[in-house]
Amino acid sequence: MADFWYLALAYGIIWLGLFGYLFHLSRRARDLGQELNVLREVLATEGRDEPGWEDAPEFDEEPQAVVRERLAGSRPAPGEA
Amino acid sequence: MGRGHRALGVAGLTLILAALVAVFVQAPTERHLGDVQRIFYFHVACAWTAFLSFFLVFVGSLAYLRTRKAAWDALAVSAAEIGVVFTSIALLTGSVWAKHAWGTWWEWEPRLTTTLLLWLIYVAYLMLRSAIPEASKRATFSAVFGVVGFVDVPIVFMSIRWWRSIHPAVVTGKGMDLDVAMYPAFFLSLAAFSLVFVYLLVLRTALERSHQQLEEMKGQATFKLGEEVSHG
Amino acid sequence: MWEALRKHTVAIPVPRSEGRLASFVSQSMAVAAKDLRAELRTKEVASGTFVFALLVLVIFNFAFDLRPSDNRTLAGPGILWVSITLGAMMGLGHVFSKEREQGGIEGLLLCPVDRGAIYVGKFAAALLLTAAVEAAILPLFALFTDLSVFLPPLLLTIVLGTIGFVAVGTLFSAMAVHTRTRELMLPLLLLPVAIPIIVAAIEGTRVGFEGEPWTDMLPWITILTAFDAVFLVLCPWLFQYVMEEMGS
Repeated sequence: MADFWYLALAYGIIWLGLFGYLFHLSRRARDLGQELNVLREVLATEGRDEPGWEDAPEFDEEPQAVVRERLAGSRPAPGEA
Repeated sequence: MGRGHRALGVAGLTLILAALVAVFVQAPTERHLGDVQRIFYFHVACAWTAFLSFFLVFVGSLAYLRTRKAAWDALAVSAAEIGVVFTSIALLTGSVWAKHAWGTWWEWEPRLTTTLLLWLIYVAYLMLRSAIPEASKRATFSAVFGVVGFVDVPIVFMSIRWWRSIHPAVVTGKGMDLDVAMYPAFFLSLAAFSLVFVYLLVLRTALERSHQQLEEMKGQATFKLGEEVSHG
Repeated sequence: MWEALRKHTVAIPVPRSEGRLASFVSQSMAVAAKDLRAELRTKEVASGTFVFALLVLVIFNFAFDLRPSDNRTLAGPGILWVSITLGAMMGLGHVFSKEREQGGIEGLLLCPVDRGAIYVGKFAAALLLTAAVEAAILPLFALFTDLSVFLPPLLLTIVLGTIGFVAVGTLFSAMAVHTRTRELMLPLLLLPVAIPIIVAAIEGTRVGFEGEPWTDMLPWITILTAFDAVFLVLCPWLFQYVMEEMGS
């Protein structure tokens, strides 16, 4: 019967390890999202007189892609319609 | 990173459940070691995945040094982190095994010792990274260490094995035959952990990429704000 | 390989009269000579390293009772190599610290010197320094433990082990000095990687002390040689990448 405790301990370690890490990763992802929102807030307030902050890229858009689209003309430059 | 990734996660979870069934229900009880031997399946799968992880650190490090693309650095650090997690699990479960099989929580036998050294090398990798704030320097230095670390692994393995064969300990390694009946549980465990590993790797790499892009945006924002201030 | 080492050079073209290899060697010697001259002036790193290694030896005397001769052959090799390892690491920490503090890095980078030559020069200087400390420690170890140290197996192990340790140590020292924790980083990086050397050196030394036949030394000499061969090639190549980041 003591055997059971060893097994339970070992598998407990495995589950704790895996799910603990998964939980840690999801928390970091959430913190990253929050940091990004804060950054956008700061930039929005700072650049309120600057035209075009309402055209700021979304969170999951790559900055390079945004620039590319702007250059190609498929996305309006800041300030334009 | 959406549906494909989620499907991967579901597949991994399913395989884990299947492996659990195989390990606890299907696999036969080992002759000498009893039911506690069932630790073996997930323990070995963990260790194997950790090793795969460290190989990916090597690949990412080498690729970063050659191409200077941040994506490779993201792969390297993600693989290192996940590798440390899996190695820790392997070490701890190995320790439980040692307690059951040999009566002590630790034994300086080849496998446990080598695993501990691997753990130390990749923890050093992570500590090196945390000690360098500049992104490019951090990526380069950790890539250099990543290459050295992995190249060192076979030499470490050889040296520890010979060290222990010269002074044979009372207890030897796992000393277990893998019966054909154990194959399903064994290979299912390997497959399950590999899938879970890939799932975690994709997750962690995407997180790192987002982090890199955030840092870049911060840099651009600072530049832009600086411009505004100077133009009044 | 020489081409790969030269790839990142910002160099004035080598005059045709001097062959590539000859100029590489003379550049390395120049780097090494500069370091050794600086060290000879003050001798602070060498003396500090030696005293530290000596202190480790002394402390071990309190850790283990070395009066019974069995204990001496059992613990002797370990004590010797821990003392040498820790001492060598202290010394290695200083290979690049002078450049870091006094800003000589930029000077080195601007020099028309092959990056690989900088590594070889630094490595050679560090090797000589470590060898000097070992030469001083060995007689003292023989004195404290009454064990004979001037044995071929022991000397061979020392030579091979020191080469590998200093090779990797020079590379890591260059990186460590440019991190937030500076010299604290070096042991963290170097010790796990250098474990094969430490294990092989200790066991090789033990073969010498216990007077066993040379064939027993074979596994350890193999490990040391393999380590040296691999890292003497790998470290100079990797060093060029480290140098690129050293300006910051």
